[in-house]
Amino acid sequence: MSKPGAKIPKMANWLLHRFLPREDYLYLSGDFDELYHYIYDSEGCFKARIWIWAQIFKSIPGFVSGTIYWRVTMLKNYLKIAFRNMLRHKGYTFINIAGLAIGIACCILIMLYVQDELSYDKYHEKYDRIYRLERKGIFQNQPYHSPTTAHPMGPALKNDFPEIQYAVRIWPSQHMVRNWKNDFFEEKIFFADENIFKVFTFPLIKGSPDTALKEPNSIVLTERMSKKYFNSTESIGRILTIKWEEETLDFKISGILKELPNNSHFKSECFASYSTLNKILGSQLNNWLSNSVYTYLLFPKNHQHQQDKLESKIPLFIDKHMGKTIRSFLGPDVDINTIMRFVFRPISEIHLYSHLAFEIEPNGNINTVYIFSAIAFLILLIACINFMNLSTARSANRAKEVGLRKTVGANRTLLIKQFIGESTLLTLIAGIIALLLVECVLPVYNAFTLKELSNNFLTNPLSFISFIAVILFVGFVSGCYPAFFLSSFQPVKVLRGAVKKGTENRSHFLRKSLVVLQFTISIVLIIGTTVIMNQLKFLKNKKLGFKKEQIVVIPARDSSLLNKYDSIKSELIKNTAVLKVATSSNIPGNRHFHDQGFLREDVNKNRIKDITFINIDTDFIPLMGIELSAGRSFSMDFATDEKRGLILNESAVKEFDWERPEMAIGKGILIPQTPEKFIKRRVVGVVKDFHFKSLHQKIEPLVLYMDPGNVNFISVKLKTNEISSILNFLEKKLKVFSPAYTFEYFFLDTNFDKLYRSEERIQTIFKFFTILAILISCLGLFGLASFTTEQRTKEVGIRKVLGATFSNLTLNLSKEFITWVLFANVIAWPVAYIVMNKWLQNFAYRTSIGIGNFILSGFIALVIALVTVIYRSIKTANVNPVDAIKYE
Amino acid sequence: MKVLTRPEEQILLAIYHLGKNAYLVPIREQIKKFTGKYFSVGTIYAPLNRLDIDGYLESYMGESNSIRGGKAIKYYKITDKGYQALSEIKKFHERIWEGFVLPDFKKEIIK
Repeated sequence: MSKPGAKIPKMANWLLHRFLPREDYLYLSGDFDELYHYIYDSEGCFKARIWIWAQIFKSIPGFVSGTIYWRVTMLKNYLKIAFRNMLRHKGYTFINIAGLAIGIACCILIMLYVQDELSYDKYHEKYDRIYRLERKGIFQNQPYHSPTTAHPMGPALKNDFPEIQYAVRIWPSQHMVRNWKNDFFEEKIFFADENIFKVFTFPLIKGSPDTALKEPNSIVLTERMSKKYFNSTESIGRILTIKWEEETLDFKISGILKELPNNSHFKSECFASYSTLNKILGSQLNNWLSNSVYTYLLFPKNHQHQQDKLESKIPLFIDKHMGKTIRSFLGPDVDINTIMRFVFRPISEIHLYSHLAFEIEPNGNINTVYIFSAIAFLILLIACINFMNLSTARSANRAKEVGLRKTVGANRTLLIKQFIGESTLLTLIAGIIALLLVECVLPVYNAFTLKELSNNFLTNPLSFISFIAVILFVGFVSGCYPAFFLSSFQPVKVLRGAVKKGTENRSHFLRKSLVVLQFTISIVLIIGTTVIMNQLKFLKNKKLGFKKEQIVVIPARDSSLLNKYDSIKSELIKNTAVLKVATSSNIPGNRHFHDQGFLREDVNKNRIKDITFINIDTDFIPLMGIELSAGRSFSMDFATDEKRGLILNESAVKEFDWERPEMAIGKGILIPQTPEKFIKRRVVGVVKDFHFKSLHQKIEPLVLYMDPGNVNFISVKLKTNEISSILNFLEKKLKVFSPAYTFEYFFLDTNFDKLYRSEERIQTIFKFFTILAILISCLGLFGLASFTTEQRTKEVGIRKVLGATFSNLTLNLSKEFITWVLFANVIAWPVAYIVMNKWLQNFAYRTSIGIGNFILSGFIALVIALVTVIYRSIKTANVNPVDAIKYE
Repeated sequence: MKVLTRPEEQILLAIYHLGKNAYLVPIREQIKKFTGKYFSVGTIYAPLNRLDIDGYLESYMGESNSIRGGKAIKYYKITDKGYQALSEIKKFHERIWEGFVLPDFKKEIIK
């Protein structure tokens, strides 16, 4: 009867198998075989095929709706069971959800921080084509790398290389601004080329981006600046007066900006037109050797290729424009290529990767981003471990359910799906709570990260997707082990009650290692925190070589105070609370210092050294309490000191190749003014090295000499604790000299501490997250301890009846946990040592990681764990033995 | 008792006529005889299954034949409940058709 080919095609058969109800498949497919056969016989192969495929397609809707129906039914059941379970074990549910929620919240907070750090300067439409020009090279055997360039560099590059689309120069400078109240303020004023808005995407809201900075004396303000000086944001066309040294300059406002986004590597308040500088600076604009300008280059699309080509042409360019000048300074056979090369740094990398000496603002650090990401991951891991531990430990409670489900036909895949789904549900609840938590703590978090982060999860699709991804990931990770473990139960054994509660060897071992891992992470974090705290304490308490306490510093920015310092000093010293008054061009603890060329008189002129200098007066060294190691300090008794005297620090003595400080006394030092003209000063004294810069750096050579014309700070040493009355006094006195003066002051020691602000911020964040990590670990431990002690209720009862004392029992119950924590210490110590040692390498002066740190951290972890466990144990040990034995 | 739907009614009657040889393929043939066209397998299978579940039919597995390649045949038999439902629907039809006379269209028009 049957002919070859009268069979349903394989593919169709397979689909039938999938689509037909499983229990009916066998006979139904037989029916289909038969029908196919008849149609084949009567109407031919082609029609039969069409028929069978039509049948399959027709059955798809039914199949799909049927599947969904059953899925939904099962899902409802799963959800019901899941919620019942959660409600029945409220304590464990709380621990799980709270742990996960805190973990996810930490993770979100850190990720917001990281996201912000990574987003720097990416808001510019052309950010991938904007590069900052940096100079790099070796000058006088000292390698240098600086983001500053000379004034003519940008335009010359643009002129010589057609592959550069635009070159923008930005020149930050500080000036007084006269506002409508006739007071003086000092603001950051950035001079910028007119094409700045073609390169950067700055939010210009009023004014034309093409012409705003074209005319000389035009200026673009932010809304904030405009409000400050004109009391409105409608200030276009009005005049802003800026004091430039002794003159005043009027600027016409040609545009209004929104505040620059926080994720910019510089946050200027106003841009003034570069063409203004033509008039003021004149020939200085053509000076190739004075570097104070930031040059940004825009490359056309597919710039990568262009830039490689450009790099090979740069040496010629440098030679062409600077060769002559450099040779006239440094001799004819100097190798210009080692002195200067160019580096093109993508603008998006400036914030995280560039830590050069003259950044416009201090930048972030990619290592911080890595450290924080690692912490986020670890905290999340701890929270996941809690979940895994509690679910496996309490698996016995679910064993019956698993047995029953298996008996009525659930296979392992289904059960795994169910349990992973359950953990995902829990994670989702935790995630929602976490979002609320984040919303609550974000203001505080912003305050100590100094950022303006916003919880943009529901608006930003990318972060929403990543949030969902994290939820699914955590749900999967924390759910998968319990799922595999639970689904492996054999129904026969389980239903007979053969599964002992939570004591299976395999899962017991895993649980143990997970707790150890949790505590290892916590201990590493504690050690990290203590080391950071120690280092900060070390930095703050380290003898700096000068006394920073009780010194009020007044920035002397008002030019009307200039030339009156002698009378100001004699006026201020009249107050009995004032011990000393000194003026100087800079103070220890500032971020920026100025360098100058210095030269030993008795060596040839090519050995000019670039050395940091501070201009001081006769009172500066005694006021700061800087110790002398040879010679004397500047003194009023020596009239020549002001014009001819000079003081070195010990490092500078070494730099100039004198063996001992005494040998330098009386020697001449030349200060080159131009290649031909020098000023000669004699060394009158040598001071001991003191830390005028932060302790990240070794003490550098320093030259001190007097220059009454260069005064930026008035330092006042006090001998009183009545700060407010003395401040009032200072303000009143200074107002006498300059009625328009706005009194500002700071304390030298707090200013010095500011150098470690980024470390302090890391410390705060580290501390915060460490506490949370410990909290989550403890929650988990508490849950686990509750569970194990609960399991041993009967045992405890029997022990008690047999005469065990209360302390015996407590020790017995917590012994296991103590060994776990001790073991965690053993792993954590070397890890923490390696990591923290690496961190300490950032500092030139650092504390050692003492064994104390380790012992303290281990002790803290142990105590916290013990308190958690013993609290549970005591509860169990206190139970009346009669009740305990009746238990179960 | 609920009134049978038209496909259910047809399937029950087809099984009644087929007697012992009542399974999906001949039922489809039988309905073709009633209605003049083939129903798709799905349109027969669904009510057939429903009738089976609701107790109007009972099913049993029979032998296979050569065409089916060894796959068993599921035969159906009408239960008492099924017969009751059939007589019910017969009465129901008689009741609703009672006194029905086709009007004489020609007369109407002349009038």
